[in-house]
Amino acid sequence: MESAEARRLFREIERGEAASWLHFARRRRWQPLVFGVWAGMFVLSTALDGAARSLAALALIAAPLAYVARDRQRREVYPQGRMPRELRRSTWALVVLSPAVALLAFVVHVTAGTWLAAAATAVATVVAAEVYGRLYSADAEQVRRRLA
Amino acid sequence: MSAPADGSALAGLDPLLNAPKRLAIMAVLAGSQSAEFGFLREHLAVSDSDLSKQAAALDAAGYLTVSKSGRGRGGSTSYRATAAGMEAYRRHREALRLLLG
Repeated sequence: MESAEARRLFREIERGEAASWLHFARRRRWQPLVFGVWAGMFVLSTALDGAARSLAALALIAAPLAYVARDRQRREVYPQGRMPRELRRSTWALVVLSPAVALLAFVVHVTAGTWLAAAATAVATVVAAEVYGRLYSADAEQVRRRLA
Repeated sequence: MSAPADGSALAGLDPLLNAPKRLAIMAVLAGSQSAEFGFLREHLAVSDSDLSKQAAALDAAGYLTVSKSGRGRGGSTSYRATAAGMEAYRRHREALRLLLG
C-alpha cells in the first residue's frame, strides 16, 4: 500500500472517530436556560423540610437522569472513547466551571440566604452552560477544519 | 519507537477493512456507543443499498451487530461494533499508522 493511500485512509479513520463528537456539538438554545432553572430549584429545595425536601431532591435528581436517557435515544449517535484533542479545552472549561458554580451557590447561600443563592446559581449556571456550549462548538469547528 | 513499514505492519491489515467504506463504518463505531443507519449514510455519503451491503459484510464477519426498532418509516436501524470488530479495527488502524511511519 502506498503511503499516500495509507494517509488518505488514516484521515478517513480520524474523521470517522471524530464524527460522534462533532454531532454532539449540535445544541439547543433553550438548554442553558433549563439547566439554570434546574440549578436554581435545586438550591431552593434545600429550604424545604422533611418529606417535601426528600421528594424534591428525588425529582431533581431524576430529571437530569431522564434527560440524559432521552438524549441518548434521540441522538443518532452517541460518543465514546477518545475525544479529538481540540475538545480538551471545552472539557477543561466544564471541569472548572462546574465546581465554581457550586462554590458560588454555597457562598451566596451562607452569606445572603436561599432565595438569593437560588437566583445567583440559576444565572451562573445559564452563563456557564452557554460558555461551555460555545467553546465546544468552536472546538468542534477546529476539528472539522483539521479533518476537512 | 515506531516499527518500520515492512511486512510486520502489513500483517496487521485486515482484508475486510481494506475497503474504505467498511473502514469508515468501523471508525465511526469505534468512536460511538452505537450509530444509526441515517447517520452512517450521511457520514459516508453513500446510498442506502451501498451502506446496507457494506454493513452486511461486516455483520457476516462478526465485526458489528445490527439492532432494528419499529417498522416502516418510523423504524430505525442501528449498528454497534463487537469486541472482535474493535480488535480487528485497532490492529488495522495501528498497521496503517506504522505504514505512515
